Amino acid sequence: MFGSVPTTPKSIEAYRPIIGDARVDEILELADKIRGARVLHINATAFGGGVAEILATLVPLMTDLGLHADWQVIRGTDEFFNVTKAMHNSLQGMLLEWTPQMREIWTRYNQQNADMLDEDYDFVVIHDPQPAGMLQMATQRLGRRPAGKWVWRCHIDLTDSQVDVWDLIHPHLEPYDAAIFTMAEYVKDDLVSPMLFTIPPAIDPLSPKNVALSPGVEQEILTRYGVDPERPIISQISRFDPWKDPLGVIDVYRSLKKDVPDLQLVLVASMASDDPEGWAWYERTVRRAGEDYDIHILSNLNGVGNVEVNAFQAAAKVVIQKSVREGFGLVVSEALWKGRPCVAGNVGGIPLQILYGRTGYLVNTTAECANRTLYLLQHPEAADRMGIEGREHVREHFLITRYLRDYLAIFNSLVGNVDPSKSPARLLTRAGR
Amino acid sequence: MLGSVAIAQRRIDDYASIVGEARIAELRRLAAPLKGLRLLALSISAFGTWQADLLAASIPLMQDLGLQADWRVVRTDLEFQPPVRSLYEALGGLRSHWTADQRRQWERYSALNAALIEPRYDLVIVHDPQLLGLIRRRGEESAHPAARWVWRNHLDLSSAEPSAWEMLRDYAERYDAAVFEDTDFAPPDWAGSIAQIVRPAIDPLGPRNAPLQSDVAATIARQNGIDPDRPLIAQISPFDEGSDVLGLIEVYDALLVRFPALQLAIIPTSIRDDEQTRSYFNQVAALAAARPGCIVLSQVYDAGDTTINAIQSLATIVAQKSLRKGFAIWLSEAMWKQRPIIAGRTIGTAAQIRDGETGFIVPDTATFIERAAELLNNDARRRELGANGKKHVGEHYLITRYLSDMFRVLTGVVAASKTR
Repeated sequence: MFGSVPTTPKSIEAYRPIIGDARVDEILELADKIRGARVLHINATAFGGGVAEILATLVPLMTDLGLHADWQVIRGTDEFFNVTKAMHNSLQGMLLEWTPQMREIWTRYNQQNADMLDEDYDFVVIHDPQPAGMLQMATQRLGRRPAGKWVWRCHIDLTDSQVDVWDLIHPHLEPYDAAIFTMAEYVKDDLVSPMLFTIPPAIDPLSPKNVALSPGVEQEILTRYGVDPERPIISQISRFDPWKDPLGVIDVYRSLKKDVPDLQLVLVASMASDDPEGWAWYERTVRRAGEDYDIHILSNLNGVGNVEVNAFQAAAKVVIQKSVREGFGLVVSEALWKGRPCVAGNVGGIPLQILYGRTGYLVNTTAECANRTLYLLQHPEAADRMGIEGREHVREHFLITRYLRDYLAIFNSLVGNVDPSKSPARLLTRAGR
Repeated sequence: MLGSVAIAQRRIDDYASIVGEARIAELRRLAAPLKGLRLLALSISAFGTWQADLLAASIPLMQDLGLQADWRVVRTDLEFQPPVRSLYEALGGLRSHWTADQRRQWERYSALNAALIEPRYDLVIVHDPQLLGLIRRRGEESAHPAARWVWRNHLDLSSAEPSAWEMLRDYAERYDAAVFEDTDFAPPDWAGSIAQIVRPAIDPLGPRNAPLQSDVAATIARQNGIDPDRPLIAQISPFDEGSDVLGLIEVYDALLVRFPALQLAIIPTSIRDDEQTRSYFNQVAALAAARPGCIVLSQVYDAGDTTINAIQSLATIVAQKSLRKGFAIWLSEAMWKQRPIIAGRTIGTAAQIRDGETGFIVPDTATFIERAAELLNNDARRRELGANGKKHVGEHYLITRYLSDMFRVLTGVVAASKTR
């Protein structure tokens, strides 16, 4: 159709030492029932972001399991992607003007992409609202429903959607055979779908961001960035915006510095290259840090990539995620997987990952955050114990293999191999949400 | 207030083990007349560009050498981004329209930012040609009349669109010194202060260049789908149509017949988020998907310095297929890691690569293929070129040399102001 996104081959067997025989065998069994199935994932970008990150692992694993899995990216020009950006923001509650012209652009590009669909698949997974119109438009063009089961996978929280945008995409969603959300709380009340599932996000324990680094590599990276591996480190990896409160993290560090004078703070900003707001917050954070060389403010835009983030999380005594508003906050699982306790805002998906006092602490204020972090810095055995339990919690719930299993279970439900109510993927009922 | 940038702490003495005590002593001598001077470096962005990398490495070293160096980033706004980008393109000869309307916006942008410069500096260094207009307040009492202004230009202005350059020329000519990366980068009608040449440089102790243990490099390569035990051609550079990745894939296909284990890695260090680049990327991605030995690290922002370091270190040959404008200083990074280079002829490659000694400068794809085959077959020759490359970069393209050159320029500017 429009050209596949290249992915690096992966093997499910590589995960056996991590998740154990029972879980691998469950996956093999589910995959076996739909062996040879043609699966197509469509999303808006191959360039980065959480969805692309997950697909880059999921698609090659499905291939390894004997499915014909393919990942393609919708085609569009700037006018389309400007509209989808606005759509994305407005579905997440941002107030902005939604014009008839924008509506026309979204419709036209969905039409064009639907026209390019020239192969049959057994399962088509459409990710997020950008390409959501393709099913209905392909149906119109063909004069019948295109082959296979169609699933709409929504990665964003729709509950605060602006009405005019929701009204545009809503009718396009209802013909799907199933819809999958990240959390039950993200589902819009009036969405009607034959089957509604949730699949919480997950991390890939073998990706460069999460795979265990040898102590040598970790030290090497810290040293290159001027961070002293011998002194205690706290870190936060996040966007810089009011919701992730980087200024509050600096305040926490400052208040701890009195009790832990050799403490270092590593803040890594994930920024987009043309985002004046992100830049403004970065700059504000730099100013708040002043000339304290024990505060290291780094960014993905100056060379901090997945391996570096891995090292800054693994080397931290405590990882902080001081969100005051959050999506799922998967970065918490990344830290827990490295055996580090996490002190994080009690918002979004974070409470699913942090079991209070067992894998870290949920906090609501800067003072609380400082207190809990100090406790963990002063009680290294407790910190390590929480780190260990955190890693087990992630192994159980937030690894990509669980995510893969959920998809396979849903595919099986859609073709009648598995009773959806007994599916390992969580099926939502009206009453259940 | 202008924007602040996070500055790491660095010590010049750490570089002695690389360039020798004598060079460090010389650098200290050159810095001595500038000691205590208040220096302001101004740029458009804090990161994501090679100029920003150079500032991030050089400003802390200037501080360590006794200058009171600050780095500030100009304020911008969604409204200013399009005219500033258009100006950049017009100066690079990529766009032929520079309108009166854009000019008005640019003047306003310059005036707003000029007003934010604190009047307490002895030296102001402007790092992007789009910022030339910041000098407008020079001479006003409140703008600290003693300040000397230096323009450190990194853009090739030889084919600048006249309508855009004429607007800047009046400002540019007011600077006490103009510094270019190469003689040929000056605009054709340059009549301001004598154009001085300071070539860019790399930081041998930065995360992208500090030596990695070989098992670390191999582990990182494997994580990215590259087999460290098989031959590898890598192109690591900004990604756009001009980078001729399609041509590079053609080279790869031709070589694959004779070297079936060969791999090709395409590592974009930045990708412009626009229509043209996206569609070019999709084209490349589709070709790569059909070639198991061809790896594109598509999630650009996730491949950080350590990963780039690892892949550069492991490559059998580092390629620069494009005829890209600008200096392509990343080739020096690869040479520093003792990698042989094959590149098209540009101003930057001609300056960095000694043809036949540290790599090859090739006129066309056929020669590219021929040279690559030659190197893939000849381990000793590769080692020889690699060793020469490291020596060459050690002498000419390290940050210490850049600082020496800049100190000479600045000392000249300060001395001239005293005799006036």
